[in-house]
Amino acid sequence: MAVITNVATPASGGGVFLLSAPGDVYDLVISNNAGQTAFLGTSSRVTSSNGCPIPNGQSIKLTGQGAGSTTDLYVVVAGGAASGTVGYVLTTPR
Amino acid sequence: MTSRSIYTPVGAAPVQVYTPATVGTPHVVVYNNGPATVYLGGAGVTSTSGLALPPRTEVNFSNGVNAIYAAAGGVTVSGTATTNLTAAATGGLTSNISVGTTANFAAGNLVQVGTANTAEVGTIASIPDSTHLTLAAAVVYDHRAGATVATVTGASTGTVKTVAGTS
Repeated sequence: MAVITNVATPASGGGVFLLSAPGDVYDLVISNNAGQTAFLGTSSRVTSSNGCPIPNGQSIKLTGQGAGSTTDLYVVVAGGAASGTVGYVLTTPR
Repeated sequence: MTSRSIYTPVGAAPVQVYTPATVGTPHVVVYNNGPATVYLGGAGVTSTSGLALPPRTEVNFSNGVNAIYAAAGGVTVSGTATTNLTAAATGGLTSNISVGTTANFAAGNLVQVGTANTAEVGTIASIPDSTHLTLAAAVVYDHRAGATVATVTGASTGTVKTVAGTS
């Protein structure tokens, strides 16, 4: 089992690249400590309207990802908050 | 703690798959129960912007205070082959479907079974005889005899299961 941790600093404007997942099947926990709701998406075009919301201080867990799916993840924060972090823990292989 | 399960068909247009409860601490698990990747996000979600959820995978929102929408890329009926079920197909069980004819169908074809809210897309694994198509996986929904079976292209419809509750 390999565990990778990383952080990305949210910024205003387009989505910030968060991670490019490996080809293996993986689990992923994404935690939002950016001070405002964060929104996840698969391209830099992610916005607070089309992205998947994570409330501040909360995390989501994705299970069984990979296997040829779109694997790039981008994040943007409501209001373009410039402080705080969005982090993740990626676990592979299962 | 209470919870409930809901199945929602997903097409090209965003559809709301989860509405958070207004009391307690809402939580939700969103599971992609369909054959294609669906994308989760807000009301403006598209297949090029949302969070990708491949088939047979799930995402757990331990504090799901926001509404969640889903979208897929839509589907086009190709018109090369069309028939109807001659016997009902049971969701989760039936992969060998009975049809009026297998003419113009081929192994590997994508086929849409049913219409409207219970339409779903599967892949023909084999054609055992002139009145049966064997799909790669059992249908997700129940389909009555007479339901349309047609080849499609660009298939990316999906089905999302949400298990939501409060604690």
